[in-house]
Amino acid sequence: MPIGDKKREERLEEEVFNKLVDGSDAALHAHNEAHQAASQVEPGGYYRYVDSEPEHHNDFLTTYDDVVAEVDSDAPTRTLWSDAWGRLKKNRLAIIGACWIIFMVIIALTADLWAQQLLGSPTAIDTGTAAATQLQPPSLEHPFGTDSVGRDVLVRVIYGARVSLSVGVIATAISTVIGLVMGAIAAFYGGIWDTLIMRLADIFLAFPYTLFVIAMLAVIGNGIQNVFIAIGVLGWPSIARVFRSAILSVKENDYVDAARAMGASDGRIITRHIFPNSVASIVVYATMNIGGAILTESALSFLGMGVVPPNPSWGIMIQDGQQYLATEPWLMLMPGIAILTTVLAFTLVGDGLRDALDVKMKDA
Amino acid sequence: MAFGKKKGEAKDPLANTPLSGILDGITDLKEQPIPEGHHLLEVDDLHMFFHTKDGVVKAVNGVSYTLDRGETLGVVGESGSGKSVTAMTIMGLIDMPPGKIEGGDVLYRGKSLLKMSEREMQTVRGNDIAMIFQDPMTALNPVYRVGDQIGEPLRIHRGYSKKDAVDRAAELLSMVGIPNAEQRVREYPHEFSGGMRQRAMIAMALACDPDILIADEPTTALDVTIQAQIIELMQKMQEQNGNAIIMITHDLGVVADIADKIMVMYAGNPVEFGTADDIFYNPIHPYTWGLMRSIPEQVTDEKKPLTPIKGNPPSLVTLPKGCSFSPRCPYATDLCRNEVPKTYTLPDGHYSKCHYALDPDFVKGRAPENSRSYSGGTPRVVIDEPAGAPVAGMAKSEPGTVTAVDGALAQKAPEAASAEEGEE
Amino acid sequence: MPDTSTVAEATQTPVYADDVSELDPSQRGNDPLLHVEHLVKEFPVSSSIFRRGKKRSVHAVNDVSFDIYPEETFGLVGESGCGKSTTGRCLMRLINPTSGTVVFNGEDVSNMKGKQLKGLRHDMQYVFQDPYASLNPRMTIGELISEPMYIHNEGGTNEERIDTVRQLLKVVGLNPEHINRYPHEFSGGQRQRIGIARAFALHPKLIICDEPVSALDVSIQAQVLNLLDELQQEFGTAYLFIAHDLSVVQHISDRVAVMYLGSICEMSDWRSLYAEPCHPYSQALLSAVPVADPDLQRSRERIILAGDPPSPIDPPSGCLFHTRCPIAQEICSKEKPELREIEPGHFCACHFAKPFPIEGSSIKL
Repeated sequence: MPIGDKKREERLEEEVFNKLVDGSDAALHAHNEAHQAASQVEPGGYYRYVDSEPEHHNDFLTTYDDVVAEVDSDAPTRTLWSDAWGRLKKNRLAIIGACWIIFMVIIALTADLWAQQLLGSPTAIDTGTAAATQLQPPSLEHPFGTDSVGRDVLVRVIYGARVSLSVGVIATAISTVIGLVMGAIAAFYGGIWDTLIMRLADIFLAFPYTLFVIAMLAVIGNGIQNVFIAIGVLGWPSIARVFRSAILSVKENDYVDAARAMGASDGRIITRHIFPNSVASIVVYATMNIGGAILTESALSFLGMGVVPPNPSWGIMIQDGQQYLATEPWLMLMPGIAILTTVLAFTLVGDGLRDALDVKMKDA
Repeated sequence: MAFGKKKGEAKDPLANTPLSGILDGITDLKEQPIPEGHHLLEVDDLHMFFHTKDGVVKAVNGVSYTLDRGETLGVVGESGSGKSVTAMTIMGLIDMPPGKIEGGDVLYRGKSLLKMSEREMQTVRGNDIAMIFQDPMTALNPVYRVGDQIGEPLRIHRGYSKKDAVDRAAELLSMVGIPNAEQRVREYPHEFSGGMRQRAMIAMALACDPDILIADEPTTALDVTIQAQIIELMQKMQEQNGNAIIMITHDLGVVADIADKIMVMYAGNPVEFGTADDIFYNPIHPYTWGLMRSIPEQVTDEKKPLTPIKGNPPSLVTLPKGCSFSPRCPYATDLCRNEVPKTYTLPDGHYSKCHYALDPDFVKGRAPENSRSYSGGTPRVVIDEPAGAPVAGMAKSEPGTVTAVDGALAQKAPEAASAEEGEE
Repeated sequence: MPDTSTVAEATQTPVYADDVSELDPSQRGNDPLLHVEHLVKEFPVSSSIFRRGKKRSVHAVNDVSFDIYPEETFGLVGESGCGKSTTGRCLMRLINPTSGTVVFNGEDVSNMKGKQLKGLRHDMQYVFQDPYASLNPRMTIGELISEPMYIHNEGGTNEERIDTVRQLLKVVGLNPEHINRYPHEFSGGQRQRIGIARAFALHPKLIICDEPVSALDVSIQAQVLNLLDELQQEFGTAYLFIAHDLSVVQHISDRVAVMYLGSICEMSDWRSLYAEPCHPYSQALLSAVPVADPDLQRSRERIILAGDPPSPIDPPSGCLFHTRCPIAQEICSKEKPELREIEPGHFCACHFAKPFPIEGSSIKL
């Protein structure tokens, strides 16, 4: 809008306002004239002239302001994500969970820099000293004790975290991507696609999950990458189902119709209206799924299908430790606690995210 | 128990049976006489607050009224004004905590409902005081047959056998105007239309011949023609049974249709209470005026503009200082904004919580044009009469045409009313 | 558009005498803004794959014809399930009509695609019944109201759009400072104001208001009705006002059509419809509306219709209303009455409507 026009419009507005205050017929006339002039100048300025008119609006405004004044603490801009962050910060349990995950991630990532120097190698077995150092209870030197061949349990838990965390994140990422695509296709195209995809999902879900993963690993071979892939590929049906039903329920809402009534394209409706309203359930579900993937990996390793010894993983450590359960319980307990706390942390974060992404939750 | 009694009952379905007291020494309250000086139901300055983590929600803030058999009380207010919560409090259906009675009392036949044990209340609910809910779609349990649900209160309160209860349910259904009741009792709620479900709800509520029927927005979910059916049905049932009705609604038209007394609620407060004629023709609270001016009039000549009440109802947690209506009241003064108004009662029991309720000039100058007291520009109501002044003329126009407007009488004198209508 | 002219000729658009007199003289003889003719919408009833047989369908809209002129408010009133909302949605092609013609602004809407449809949805806007459901809960009201401008790439730069949104908020009586708030922070009435602001963002020629006040409290309802009135006077928009509340429709409409079971049974300017309803259904409907006047309520005669409306899956033969009609005769179950003009501008679909009053009926016709 050219600046000159804006100035002129403002001047006109002021003029009209002053005259309206006088309340004469002439003022009304002038108002109409100015109105016409302004709409000729540019249509966007059209609205300005109604400002002074509907009296009850002004009443309404003042009272409304009174009512909301006390709770009014608007930041200049707000987005869904910044608001969600604001709410997440206030959720103590979710923050504890997030801190724990971050702590684990940092430990796992930086392990090469310090863990081996302090605690020894997680894999190498020093046959010379093994007899002397094996099966020691937790002590200052070995905070989590040592295992049957003299390796420090703590350093193995730390290196095991690498496997567990990456399995959780990568496998979940794979199943989420597949699940989102499948769920979206089923929900949007419906009909035969919906039937095909959802029946396929039913078939996947009908198999015992762990057994299915084991079968798949038997086909594609053992190894940590294959564990990622197997867990990830087989995890999509539940995500697809959740996403499909989320989309279907969002699609029913009037605001989707409202967007169509405005002339919005399908792409815009999906990205602006359907996705933001259904993504929350997926974020939450995926977060919680990470815990599940960690558990599956542990189970696989426990069964000897996942990580190949002597590489550490929490599942393998539990398997190794089970024969010493009665006498040296820390061998099982320590990786067990690691699994428990990590899965719990992801669940807490998932819960927190669900609440945070719900715009209707009170900020307080 | 109730065996063998069925045949006799079949002829007169809602007759008070002497069976009522049969259950292990628990006698029906409704069989007992109302003590001298008491009404059927007396709500006396009832306060019920919810204590939530956001603060104290003053949901019921000093509600008072009385109700007798055969009367209908209309409770009007916007959503969140506490009209349903008041009824739930009377029924003892509020969870305590978070709810807490902060004062006042509810007397039913002279007995305090608030002091009753849960077991005693269970015999009252559905038996002495029954309730109809707003949404007939959700108030009936979809997994039970309609007949079983209608018969349930009979089995609970009267010890009917399952078969007797269903038979009685069929009678009740046909009484509320559902054809083929014998077959219908065996159907499930989803096979009923909305109007029929509401009829079934009424049948269920009336199964034990209650003293008081609380209807919480019974027609809001229904279409106009069905609403008319249901209101007619409730009136017919009331004539037959003589029960009292508490009609909770937001629709002024519905209360004008059915109510003898009206309580207007705003933000948990009963802002005005009086006979239907008091409220419609002689309102003294600005909120009532506002409501009257907000509804489109049925005119066929010239449309009159609506005068809405500005703003929104306040949050019940942070009620405004002073009169809770003052932020929206166009006539509010500093007094209103700072001091909570007392209840000002006129000699005939018409009361209002407005500082200016007793100021004739204030009322005269501001009541809506369509309230009859102001047609012709002369106030027909003198509300600064000293107490004890003639009461009967209050609500009605010409000094000569005094109509009895005391409760139920008004409704039973349609000739008088229509005659007067003709004069005007 | 080739077929528009033929359509207009064929139907011989009647002159609504009373109505036109209320409009600006320059409107007289003008083409209608919206012309609907023989609109039909049937929804197939999904049948199980195991039970093949005659295909059944819900006759939601059954041969509906009406016109809306520029700057007028056309009220469509009826009970739930009578097809009034479906009609509104068909006009905007939110659902595709089964058959019939809809001409908006001289263009046939029924076969529009892509760009044309987008253009239609520029000039015609929709205000939804439920102010809670019709606003995307994850968008601020600024985003919500400016969305039509983004979609149609209008309103200049982002800053200018934001400016317009602020002005719109002021116009509908909301605080422009609340532009960054979410819908759930507003009350029902305020949300409906947001919905109205959004509908007006593109200066549409016609706004379909689908029960815009039925979810609101009485005092708020009056605020929104007044707002709609003021905006109409300001912008000269035509409204199709769909509602079940007769007094609200009466208040806001210039002309009113009463729908029953997918068909229009009476159509007239508001004055003669409310003063002298000709169709027994309109009479019953009007008499069933509770009036906030106890004396009048006690004295007036009410026509209480028996039973429920029949299912639109198997509509009755002949006159759709004959199953509940208090004056139904033999002919009613056999012949479907046409919507005919019984007085200038007053249309009624009843065999016995004026000028053929039926003898001895309890209803005054």
